[in-house]
Amino acid sequence: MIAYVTGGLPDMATTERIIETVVGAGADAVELGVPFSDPIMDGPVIQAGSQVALEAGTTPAAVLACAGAAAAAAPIGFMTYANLVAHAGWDRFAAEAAASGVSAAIVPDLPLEEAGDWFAACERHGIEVVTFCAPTSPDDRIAANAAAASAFLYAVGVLGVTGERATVAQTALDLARRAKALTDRPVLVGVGVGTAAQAAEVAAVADGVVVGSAIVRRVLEADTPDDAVASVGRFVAEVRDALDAVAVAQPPPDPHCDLCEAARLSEWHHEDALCWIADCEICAVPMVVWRHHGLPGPADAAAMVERLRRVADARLGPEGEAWYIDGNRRNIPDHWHVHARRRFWS
Amino acid sequence: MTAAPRDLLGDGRYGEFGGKFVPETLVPALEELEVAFVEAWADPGFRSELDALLRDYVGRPSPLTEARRLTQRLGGARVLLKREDLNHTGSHKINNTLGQALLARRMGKSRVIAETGAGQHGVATATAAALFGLECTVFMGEVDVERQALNVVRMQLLGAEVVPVSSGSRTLKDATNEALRDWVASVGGTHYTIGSVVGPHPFPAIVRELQRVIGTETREQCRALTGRDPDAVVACLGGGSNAMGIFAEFVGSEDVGLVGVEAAGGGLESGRHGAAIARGVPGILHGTRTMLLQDEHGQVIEAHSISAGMDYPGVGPEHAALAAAGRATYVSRSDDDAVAGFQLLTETEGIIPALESAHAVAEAARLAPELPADATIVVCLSGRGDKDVDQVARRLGLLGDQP
Repeated sequence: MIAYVTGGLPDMATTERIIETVVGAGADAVELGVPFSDPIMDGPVIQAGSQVALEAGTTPAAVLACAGAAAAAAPIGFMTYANLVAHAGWDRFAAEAAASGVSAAIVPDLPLEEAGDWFAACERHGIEVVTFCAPTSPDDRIAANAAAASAFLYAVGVLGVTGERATVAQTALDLARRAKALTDRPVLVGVGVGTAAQAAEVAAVADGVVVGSAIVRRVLEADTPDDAVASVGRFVAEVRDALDAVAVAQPPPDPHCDLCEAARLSEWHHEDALCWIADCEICAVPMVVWRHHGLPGPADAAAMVERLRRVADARLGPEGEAWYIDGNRRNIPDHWHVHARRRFWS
Repeated sequence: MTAAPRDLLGDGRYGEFGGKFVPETLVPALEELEVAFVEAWADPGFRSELDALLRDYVGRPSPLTEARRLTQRLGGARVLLKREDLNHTGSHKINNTLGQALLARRMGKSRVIAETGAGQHGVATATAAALFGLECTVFMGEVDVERQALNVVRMQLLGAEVVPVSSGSRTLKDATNEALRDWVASVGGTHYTIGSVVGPHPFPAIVRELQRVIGTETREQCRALTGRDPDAVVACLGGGSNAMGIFAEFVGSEDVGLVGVEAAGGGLESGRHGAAIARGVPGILHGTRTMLLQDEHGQVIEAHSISAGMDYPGVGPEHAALAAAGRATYVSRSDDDAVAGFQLLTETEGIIPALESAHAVAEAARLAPELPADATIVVCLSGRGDKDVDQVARRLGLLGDQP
């Protein structure tokens, strides 16, 4: 998990404490935002954070300096917009970032077509680069971006700018799966990942997540710097626990199990970190299948049956009249799945 | 003959300026737009539909008016006015928005979005959207919403949603940020009708081609009237679409002097101006590399001008390149100059210009006496000034309730 922190929000000293705290709470790395006056990839929360930081007099040099102190505990990457880098000079900015201990760079408004000089400068100074893919990216662009990524490929999970969303978008899961199939580079999903549950859901299909607005919002909402540090620390620990639970809870796939193979023989109606729903190859009715081999706990089972209900209601008609829940596992008893079976008269 | 694709729009590089500095999400959309425009431009059906709209709906060709009393008053070169103020909706902006709305429809997009400063581009976009039955959202800085209230009402009457933008300097720059953010989220079904020769490739080239009609007509009309090309063409610029439209036709004719007029606001030394070429340094904003007003760290500085349409800290990348190459000259005129130009044209010709265009009038007034009587200056009168009457009245203390 990468935690995004706006440099200079609410001040540099607190930023340093927040970085320490998120690393202590289990963030694997920190994405340190260097605030820019016109952040077109950011939604209202990170915009507000940047504006507060700029009004407090935050400079790029001060933000980079603060990275140095924290870089011993966890890798620090910086995120900013092309103008701040270009204004300093591609090479000079890369050199200064490297000297301050930063190990990676994220510049979202530098697509491959414009990034040549920057990537070369990063390579000269030992800075790894992050590149992007989005739900609109065709496969060849995903592959080209992945090939250019020395750090990781950042999958922008939703069509839109940074910000929290109520649920994980299907686009995030689809994009992560598509990207994973195209590259061996790590694929991290960001934009629209704002809760521990969402992080866990996304982490099941990607190599990691980037959490940003949910952190910056907590800093903005806090009454004091101490509250900000404590609130962010609690949140990041929660996300860490959820991610660890995903890692622990997954039984290994059984190489002989057809359901573990999850071959897409028919149209998939739904998928998320927990389960997928498709028409059963044998019965031709919607079937929900747990992502993992074996049998889930009752809460997960109930959640999966609920997802099947939504799909079956939409496709078959009202439950009871048109179809019913059939939990009987006739052919593959040791991998949990449930059919939405048609009433024979319907 | 239809130009080959690369000849029509180029590769998006104007010397060291231009480019496509956007989030990955938008890259495929920009490529799609480039292909769509080139195909549309090569399609006689598209061109004849646009030409018919420009003739029957906009009222083109717009006249080239001989400014006899102005010329007499100034004493020097003969001044001609390219009357974009007479277009439907009152400015040159409609040339661009009709073309882009036709393109949006052709691309199957049901919604258009736009940024606006003075409101002229917002009104022109809302007008085109009404004409084609497209959904329309216009982003406008809160400061501009206040100083151009009448244009907000016009847009709303035309069926557009006007979204006041409260971030940053709350003017055109921030409205453009917000339009880009909307587009990142809505790119599948929405076309971003950018209002000037700014933004990522291919926008600067598309807007230039759609505004080129100003220059093409001017050349024909000037030759018919005077027997030759003008000696100088003077146009105001915020982003620079009217200037690029009229310059485009003359760039290859070295005998025609091209003069762009930026906003000097309260004076270049005051720091409160919009003179990106005069006082900016190369930078990246709104997807393009261009001359840009910024502080020592690269943070973009707010622009200032009496005219909301020139309140922009950057400028079209092709203008930045023309300035660097020395092909066009860029000067700046202050708020006071603009108000004087506004009064001068109104008194001598009975034409009330937009405050934006009044910057060009002011520069022509400075230039004309320096040139011989057989020289000709064309001023691009990019818009009419009804929207600015209230503001000028306040500034001149012409309203009864002024202290």
